[in-house]
Amino acid sequence: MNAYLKIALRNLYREKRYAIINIAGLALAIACCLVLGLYLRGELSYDRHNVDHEKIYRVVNEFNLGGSEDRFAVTSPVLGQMLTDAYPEVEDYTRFRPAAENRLLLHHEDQAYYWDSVYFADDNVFDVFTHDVIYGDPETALVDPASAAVSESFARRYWGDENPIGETIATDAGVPLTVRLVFADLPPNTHLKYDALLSINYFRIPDDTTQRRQQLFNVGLYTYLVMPQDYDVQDFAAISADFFDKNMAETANQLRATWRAWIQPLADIHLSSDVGYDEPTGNRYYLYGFAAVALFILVVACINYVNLATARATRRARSVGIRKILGSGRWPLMLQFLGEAVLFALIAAVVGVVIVEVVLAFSPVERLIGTELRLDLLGDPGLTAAIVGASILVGVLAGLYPAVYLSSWAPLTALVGEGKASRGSIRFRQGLVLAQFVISIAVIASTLLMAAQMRYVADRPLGFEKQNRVMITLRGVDLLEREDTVRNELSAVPGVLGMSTSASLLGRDMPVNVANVENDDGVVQPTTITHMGVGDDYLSVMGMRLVAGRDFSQRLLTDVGTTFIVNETFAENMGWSEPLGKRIQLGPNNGRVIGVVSDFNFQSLHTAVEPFAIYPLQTDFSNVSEVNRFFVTRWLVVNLAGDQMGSALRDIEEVFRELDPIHPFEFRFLDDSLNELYASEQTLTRLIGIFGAICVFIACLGLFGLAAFTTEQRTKEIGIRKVLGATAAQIIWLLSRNVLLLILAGAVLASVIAYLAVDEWLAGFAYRAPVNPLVFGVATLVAAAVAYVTIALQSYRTAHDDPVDALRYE
Amino acid sequence: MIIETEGLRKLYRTDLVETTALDDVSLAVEQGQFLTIMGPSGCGKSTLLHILGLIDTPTEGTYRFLGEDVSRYAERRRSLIRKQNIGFVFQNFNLIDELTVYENVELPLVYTKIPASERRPRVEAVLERMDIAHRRNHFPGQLSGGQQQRVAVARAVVNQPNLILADEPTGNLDSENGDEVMRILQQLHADGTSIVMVTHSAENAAFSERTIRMLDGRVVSAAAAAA
Repeated sequence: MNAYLKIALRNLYREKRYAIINIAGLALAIACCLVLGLYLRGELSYDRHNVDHEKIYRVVNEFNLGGSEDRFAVTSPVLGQMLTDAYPEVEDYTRFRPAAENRLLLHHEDQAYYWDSVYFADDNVFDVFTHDVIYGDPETALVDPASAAVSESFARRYWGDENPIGETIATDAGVPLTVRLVFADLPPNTHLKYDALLSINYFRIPDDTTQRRQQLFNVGLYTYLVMPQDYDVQDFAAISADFFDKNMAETANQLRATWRAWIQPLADIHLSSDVGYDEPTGNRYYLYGFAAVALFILVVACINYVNLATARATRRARSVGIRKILGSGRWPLMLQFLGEAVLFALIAAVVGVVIVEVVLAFSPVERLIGTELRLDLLGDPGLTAAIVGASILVGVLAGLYPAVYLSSWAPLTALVGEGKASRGSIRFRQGLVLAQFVISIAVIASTLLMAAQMRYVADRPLGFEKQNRVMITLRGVDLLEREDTVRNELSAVPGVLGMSTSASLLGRDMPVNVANVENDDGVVQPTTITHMGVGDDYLSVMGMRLVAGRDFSQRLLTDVGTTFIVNETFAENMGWSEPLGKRIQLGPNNGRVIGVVSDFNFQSLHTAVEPFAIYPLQTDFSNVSEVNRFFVTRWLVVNLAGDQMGSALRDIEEVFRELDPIHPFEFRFLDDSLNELYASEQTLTRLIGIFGAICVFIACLGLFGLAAFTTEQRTKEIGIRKVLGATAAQIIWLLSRNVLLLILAGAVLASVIAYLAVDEWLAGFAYRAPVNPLVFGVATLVAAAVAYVTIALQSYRTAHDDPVDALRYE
Repeated sequence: MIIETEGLRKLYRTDLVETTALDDVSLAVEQGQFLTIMGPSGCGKSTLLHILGLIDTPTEGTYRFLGEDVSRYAERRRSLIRKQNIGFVFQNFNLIDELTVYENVELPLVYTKIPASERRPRVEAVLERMDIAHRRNHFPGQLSGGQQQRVAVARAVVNQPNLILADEPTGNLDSENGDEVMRILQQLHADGTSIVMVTHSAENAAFSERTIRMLDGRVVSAAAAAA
């Protein structure tokens, strides 16, 4: 064993170039696999830090109203309690209710910060979910309605390193909440993330069954159940059906509705949930994509090893022959060659780990992938063992064919056959180079196609203007009641071209409800529609186009609550011959269609345009309860002149600082907000692009080594050809011709693979860029050019040298 | 007899041509004899030597080594006989570049599973005898041709084989080094080792007891020389 290691190390030292090419390729591949592996591990271990994750399930439900199905991750506030009371299988429940529609401002003395994720939670939340408690008693932390549990980062933001237990924070409503617990920040791979939890005991569950039943049709919070170990999720169907019959059927029949609930194992939510009103979830198929890319890169690097090792076989033939003549059997030789491959892989693994450490420390890879990656070899022996084990496996896979091939030579063939490779082995090598380029070209073509779709999504007209539109949150009725003042002040700001308000943000979750809509025959039918309340001038500020009827009028106060503008799809779906004047009843709004707006994409381009209605926002807030006055929010959308953006924003901030001093000014650009809808696709495209480039690079590394070898082998032939008058270009063509032909052959196969893969991906978009066949040509050209340059670089010297040197070479 | 062949033929076939490398070669070598095979290039000398050394097989005929018919043995059995009984010396030395002098010489002992403790004195002894011990940690590339051939001879004899096959052992050496190698072979012969040597050089042939000449794959004359 020792002797083999010694020989392997000597070979490595003796043939440095070969060793560097192999180790560099394998190390890069291992680094890529490690980065993607860490990412995959994170994605696949969501919520598993919870000790009881196998017993925790989230209840989700589906309402079927008037024929349209809506699936929600959020459920009724009373569902958990009622299930626990009625079914012994349900051992316990805990709930999370979002504390604000969008970010919550929390004050402590003169400090105020917005928080993205704050929830009201049940006081048993620390029993059910696992938290590392830093300060406080988890048993009692959230029992008092005026209490809060905060994360370590949260506590640090307000109180630095001090223990904040007993300190208070307050919402806009001014109610003080006492901090009773500090927990360590949640791991990044948690589907429900929060910085602070407030006590849900603020909202009481009624004791009366009738009152409870009335609340079953309002959904708004996440409910998690604790079930027995190894509970079969299918069994929950019976509970759901029984629960519906006993508690909901009566009301549901009046509404012509049905309801069912099912449960999702906690650890499956991130990758398997597909319900509405959910936290952002992962995409299982993207994980498959990443895993495939990692595997491809590894295969390309292994192919380099196989190719270079078998190409060099002739060099080692003599040593094999002599060893056999002296009595060596086949096994020791195979072991020797396999051992060498494993040694290469292990060295590459060490280099790969160093690359990953450097990349994680100095590059924006975490931002690119969109998650935190940690490589802690000492603290994570499982990971270290996995890396070592995988490297040995890679070594064995890469070394197997060369070992079998090299050790198979009969002793005499090995001696006299020196310098000649068999035709079969050359074909095999060509096949492997072909495979490398099929992979490379497929990845390049896929990246180009995906990038084309991303450009298409960014450039496609949406039916409204998204450039230079700034969205500002208006918080609290106090400010909303002074909307006229806000408008007047802002109108005076240079660069402000127009403004309006809305209750929702384009591209974000919008209310979906069943409305009663009159059809052409004058019959009212329940219809599911998405809708949004808007302020004056909304259509003109957003650049939307009316195709029939009129816009809402500022002067006609009677428009409020009595008028609707619908989109073309709405009118088409209803089959209206004349949309204007048709009656719609939607919640408190009961009126007629006064206009039809050209279709616009109010959701991401993953979804086709659906029926949509807009109506004037209520400006009368007298019915809003005292507490809720602080939490009503609307969006102000301001159209700015592109060349005065900076100064206008500064002036607008100034205006808000005066009109609304308690809320730190916050705004976002509409186009940024819309771009976020494609964040995961953009990440995927970028990553496939980067890893694709690495894949091509590794393939070329192998080609470089192979070209070096071929050139060396054909030195004498090159010399003779040059004596006979060949030019350097002809020599380089001679050496690259075969590879270029291989690339061309590979391009056809690669194009088909790329087309099929991207077509599958594009199926997730309702609007897709047409596939440009030129993309496949470009990908092939890129691969061929890179390969040609690689070979030319390698053979340039020999091709330019004095032919006598080549002839003398032996 | 250490070697007895009868009607050995060796044909090389390709798609178009059939070449007869050996044609009806019958030959006997006694234990302890030093035989030289001479003849022009391409006459089949090396092919015969390879068959005698069990690294190639005859197309027809029989080959008895130490009385055992080995002509149809599979590689595994030939390998066994080879490593226990035969030492090779090649014109181009055929040392393994990535092994040191010591490791090259040690290799046959490793393959015959001689324990490490026993290998060391044997390797050291043979290195001393070939006057190359001071170079034990060098690699073949760092040695002169004569030194390399002395290492090759050392490797051939370290296992105390019954038979040494030498294929143009002085072909790549100057006359001084060539003479040195021939003196070593003569010494081995004097100690009782059988030797079959292929050479072009009549001068080297004079070191042997018996010379045969080959032409076009056949043995055309056999002559005995005084030792």
